[in-house]
Amino acid sequence: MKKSVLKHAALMTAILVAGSSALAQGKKVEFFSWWSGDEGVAANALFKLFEQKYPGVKVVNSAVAGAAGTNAKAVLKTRMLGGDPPDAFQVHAGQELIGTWVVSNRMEDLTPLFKSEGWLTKFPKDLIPLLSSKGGIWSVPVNVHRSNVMWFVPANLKKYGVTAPKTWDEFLTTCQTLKGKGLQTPLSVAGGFAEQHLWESVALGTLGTQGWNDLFSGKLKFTDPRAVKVWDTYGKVLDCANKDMASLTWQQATDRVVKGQAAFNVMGDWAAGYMSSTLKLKPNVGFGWAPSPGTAGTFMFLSDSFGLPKGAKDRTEALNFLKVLGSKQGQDVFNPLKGSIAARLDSDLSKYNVYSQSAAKDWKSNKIVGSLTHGVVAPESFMNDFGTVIDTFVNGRNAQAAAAQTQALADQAGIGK
Amino acid sequence: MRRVNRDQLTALAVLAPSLVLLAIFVYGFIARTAYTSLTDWGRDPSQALAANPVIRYIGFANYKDLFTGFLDARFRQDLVSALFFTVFFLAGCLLIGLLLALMLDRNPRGEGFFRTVFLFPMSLSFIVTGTIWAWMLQPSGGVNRLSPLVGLPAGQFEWLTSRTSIWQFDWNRLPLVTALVVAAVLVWVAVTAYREGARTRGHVAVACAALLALWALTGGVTVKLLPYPEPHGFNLAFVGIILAAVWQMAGYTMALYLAGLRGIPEELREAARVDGASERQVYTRVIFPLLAPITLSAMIILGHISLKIFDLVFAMAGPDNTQTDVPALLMYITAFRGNQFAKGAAIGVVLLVMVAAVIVPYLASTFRREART
Amino acid sequence: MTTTSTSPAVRARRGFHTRRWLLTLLTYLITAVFLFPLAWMILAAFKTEAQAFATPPVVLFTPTLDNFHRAWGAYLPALTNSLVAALGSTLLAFVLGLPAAFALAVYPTRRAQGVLTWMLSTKFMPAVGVIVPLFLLFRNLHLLDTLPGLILMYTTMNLPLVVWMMHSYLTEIPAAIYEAAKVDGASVGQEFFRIALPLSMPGISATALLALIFAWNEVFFALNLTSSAAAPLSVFIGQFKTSQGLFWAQLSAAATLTVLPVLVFGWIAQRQLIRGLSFGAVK
Repeated sequence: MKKSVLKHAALMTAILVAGSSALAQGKKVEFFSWWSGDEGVAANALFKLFEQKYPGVKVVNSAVAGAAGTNAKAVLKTRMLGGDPPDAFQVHAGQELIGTWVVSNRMEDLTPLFKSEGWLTKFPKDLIPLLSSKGGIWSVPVNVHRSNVMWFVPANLKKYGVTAPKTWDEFLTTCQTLKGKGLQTPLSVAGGFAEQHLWESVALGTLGTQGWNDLFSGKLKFTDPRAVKVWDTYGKVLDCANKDMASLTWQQATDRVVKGQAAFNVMGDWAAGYMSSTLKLKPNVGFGWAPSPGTAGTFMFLSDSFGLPKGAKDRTEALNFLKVLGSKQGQDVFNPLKGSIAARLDSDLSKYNVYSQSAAKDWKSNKIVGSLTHGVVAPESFMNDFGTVIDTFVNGRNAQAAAAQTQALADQAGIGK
Repeated sequence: MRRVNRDQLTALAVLAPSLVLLAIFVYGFIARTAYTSLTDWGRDPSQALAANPVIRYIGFANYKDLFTGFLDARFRQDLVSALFFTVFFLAGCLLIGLLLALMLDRNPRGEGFFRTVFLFPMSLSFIVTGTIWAWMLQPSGGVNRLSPLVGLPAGQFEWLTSRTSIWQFDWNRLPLVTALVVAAVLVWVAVTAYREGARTRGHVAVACAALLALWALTGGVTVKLLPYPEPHGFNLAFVGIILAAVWQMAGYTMALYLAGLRGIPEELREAARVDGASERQVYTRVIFPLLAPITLSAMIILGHISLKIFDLVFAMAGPDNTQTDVPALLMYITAFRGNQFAKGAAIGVVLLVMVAAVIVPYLASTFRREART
Repeated sequence: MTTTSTSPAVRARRGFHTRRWLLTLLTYLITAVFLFPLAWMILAAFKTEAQAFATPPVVLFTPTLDNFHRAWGAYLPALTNSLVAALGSTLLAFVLGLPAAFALAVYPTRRAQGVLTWMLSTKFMPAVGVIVPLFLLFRNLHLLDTLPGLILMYTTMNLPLVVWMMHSYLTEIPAAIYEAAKVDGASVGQEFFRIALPLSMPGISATALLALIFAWNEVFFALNLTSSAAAPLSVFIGQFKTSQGLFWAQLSAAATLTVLPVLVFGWIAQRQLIRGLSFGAVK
């Protein structure tokens, strides 16, 4: 019996050794992301471009699919802590990276790369500070999505005789009008992150760009009467929404708008990709959009970005890969396929669809703020509990309590320090 | 003499690896977890994932947060949920298990086949059970679509995502309620003590009960653990999870009861019938009392499973559905997603204490019984 | 518990024909309810995605193997991991646990029962109570996401079970047999290999099946200690579900492949399953 154990152990060691040494031959760069399906196609286009530019270097794609990156983040943590960091990994730009991996001193500063590639002027000037902390720039943004967008079907609004509301107060009036005309749930909201997603649009629309930024720099307390009012408004907005939020995915919430069961939906602009590619609707005809109420002139962004972990096994190749990711050519290969816009200001708009062209125009001209729900302005430790705060509020509707809890969370996470 | 000693040495030598392994991996790590729960590891994000984190001892602050910190409402709801889940899961398994066992006992034709069918869900993993049931209970399909087949309107219940919570109470009332319940128990202890003639025990119990009641009436009414009222109750979203869990484990209680029923000698039943007991009385007076020890064992084994439950909920509702959260799941999220290792450890310890409260008395009594035989 | 044993009480009530008929009907009904979820899943595995989603449910359809083809690629590595982890840990648990059980059974000192109960107590402890330090240890030893790490964990998990179950089988061997061997001058080792091992073979196979099922079904450790390279089937199903909730037919195919071995083993080892879960509460 002992013998067989030994044999087994020996066999297994052999397999493990063989497996790892096979990978060690030849130059390679490991690319870690949660892109699969349509997004995987976009990523593959990037790999192809890279392999053209750097012949002989193989891209190892270790994508972990699913759950908006939750699975991938768990795998990443295991690998980083286990001393086996991937060469470049996908992470939401901003605090999601900074609050977790930069503060624990596990990332390399990319400022030299930004300087040598001349990127400091190629991205919007509002953007770089959101990628930075402690004097370093920590990741290369590949794409940009917009969070504060309100979606509707133009023909349906016409039918009801309303227009896309410009402020949240106007939204509440419109909501009453629509209810009066028999539309029970003028707003459709999905569960999970979508509830937080709606909150950030309400907050931005209520507080304004400066107020939003002050909230996360610590200048404006979450318990300030202005911030408490956000919760009041959020509650009223929820009264216009469906009650079965938690059982809907964001796609199903979008479907309700398309089917006319609801008039509006606030969702990130990946919804445009869903409606045009999956539902085959024409932009501006089958579906329309506007900045979510009170946020015109402000672009609340989120971005997939890539950083360089300390101890990456193929550092040179990884840096080359980042160069491709940040280049005009790289971004214009990737983004039209992914349905996002380039983070750079000089992209070739003819390659993009109608919605993206309009978003890219705003990206260049608007003020830029970071999304909370998608990791730009607050670290994971904040976001992990903020979901609970939202949930408690949705059930109990206590604005004071929610505001106090959020402030306590912010203190705990070190926001504004 | 020498032979015995050598044998004992051999015995010790072959036992040692197992004992050491378990001592380190279970009790050693439990001790380590308990220690971690008393530190601040994870409170400072920059230390949470650092290569060599600076970790400070902070006493019971994490526990204080969990029970009275207003950010940890989710943990308190999870505790309440775990208790409700346990109660309904146990009731379901025991009731259905008993019914199935009685059915097979009275009509044993094809028993082997039926027993196999009722037992097969048990060998599945909770993650597969969860996957199947999550599909069956999705709001716009599955079980909700069964009623139209018999001409009724389709079900509307949001099985796993309902936000309805019933039997709510305010967490601030917990000390008051606890004091009153303990006082009531003490009064009962006193009454039995007086009946047995143990006057001192009776006096002490009465005195304690009076003290508690006094505190409850004076200080207890005004005590506030939290700055805001915090209602907790039974989330109806759990109903679906309870259904799935009962489906999986009812066969097990059936097997236990069936073995118990088969162990009751026919003479006992006959004797009761000769004494003029009706068929129902045979069950209520003779059979059920004899099944009581089995019920207790089943309650303890199922109870510790339900307190620890993780995979079923994870597979059915996912880790982010706060309506169906349980302590083990919260521990996983807190430690491995929120990087709050110390707080996660504290949740683990609370769960550990709850399970131990169920298991240790059982093990102790098993030990005494086995040692006697 | 044989199928042919009919208790006299039942014979005495042969007259109640309708009641028995009703009871039989009820039994079949409940059987159907019990089988329904699994049957539904297995049926869905052979449907197209559209058919799996259809309301009202499609009952008659042309079965397709597409889902199995598609799930197969991701399934195979997970299957290998599950097999290696389950077999490896069961083997290791026996190498450690069988001699220990033998020692406790053959030399029953006063403390033997205490040792057994103590070992058993480890089985009841919630995994969340050890996972944080465990994670750290694995990190420091570079065992995260490796099969040896998973095997080590499952060995620890199954060890008390093996010792406890094998102890109860070994004590059933009459002491006289050992005495006879001792008289013949057999050493302890000979007693173990010549007597205990062959005589407890049925017990060994039953216990091994049980350990295999438990390791196969384990989720919590797998989820926390592995991620991709060493991820077993339980993690595969868990991630599959959260990531692609809309591919029900494919998920059903993967889940069907996952439960198939357990259904067979579970059917064979049914009584051991009850015994193992109850730790001697029922024999």
